[in-house]
Amino acid sequence: MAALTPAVFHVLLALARGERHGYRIQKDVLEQTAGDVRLGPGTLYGTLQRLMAVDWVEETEGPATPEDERRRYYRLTRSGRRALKAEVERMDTLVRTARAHQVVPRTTNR
Amino acid sequence: MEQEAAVPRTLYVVAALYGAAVRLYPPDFRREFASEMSRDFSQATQEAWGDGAWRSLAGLWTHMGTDLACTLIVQWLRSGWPAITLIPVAFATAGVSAAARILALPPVALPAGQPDRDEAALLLLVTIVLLIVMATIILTLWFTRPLRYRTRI
Repeated sequence: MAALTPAVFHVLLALARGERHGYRIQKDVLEQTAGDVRLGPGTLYGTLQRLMAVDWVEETEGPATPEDERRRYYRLTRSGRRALKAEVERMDTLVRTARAHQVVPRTTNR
Repeated sequence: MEQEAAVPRTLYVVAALYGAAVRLYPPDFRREFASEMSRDFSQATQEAWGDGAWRSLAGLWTHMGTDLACTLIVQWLRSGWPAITLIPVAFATAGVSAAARILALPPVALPAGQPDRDEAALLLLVTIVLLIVMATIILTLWFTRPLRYRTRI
């Protein structure tokens, strides 16, 4: 399988933690990348549209809290979770290869 | 109430402008996501105002504006509508048409001693505009080619 785009990977990773509405996904991506990746609304919803088209993400009812009741919630499907797992394994293999070639030291912490 | 009063009117105006701008997306995308996008923008704006006032807002609005402009092009290309290429073509057609009408006007009597540079200047201007339009079309098609033919998710 071809590598996922960064936007797709980060959205899938955010949704792996549970169902989210769009703004929460944006905040989670910002948090999980330590502020490096900020998805704009156009990028985020374009990505969600494509992910729903390939059935990796689906819309859900969401929690019935008053402040978020009009929000649209999204969650990973099984195939979405499989795709994320495959991508993480692919990246892990690459990192292990890079370490074996001593591109980066084994104990490097970002 | 006091906190709401402290928020400048500009924030609401910009949020309303963004809400209007998201209506420029293709109909399917707009129906699906426009209201969520507007809501996200308003919420992000309110939070940025709370975080660092104008400095945070400048960064946020720059990012949101860039995102809007880029994704507008991408969404229209994905929609299968040739609108992006039709817009510069329409401008070029209007430019040529206007230039032709101007050239067809009867000559104006110039004061004695003043050189007749209007026609040459106009032709030069039209050529430049056409070159810019053509360059825009070519560059748009060239740089969006990977987006139109991209197969990966």
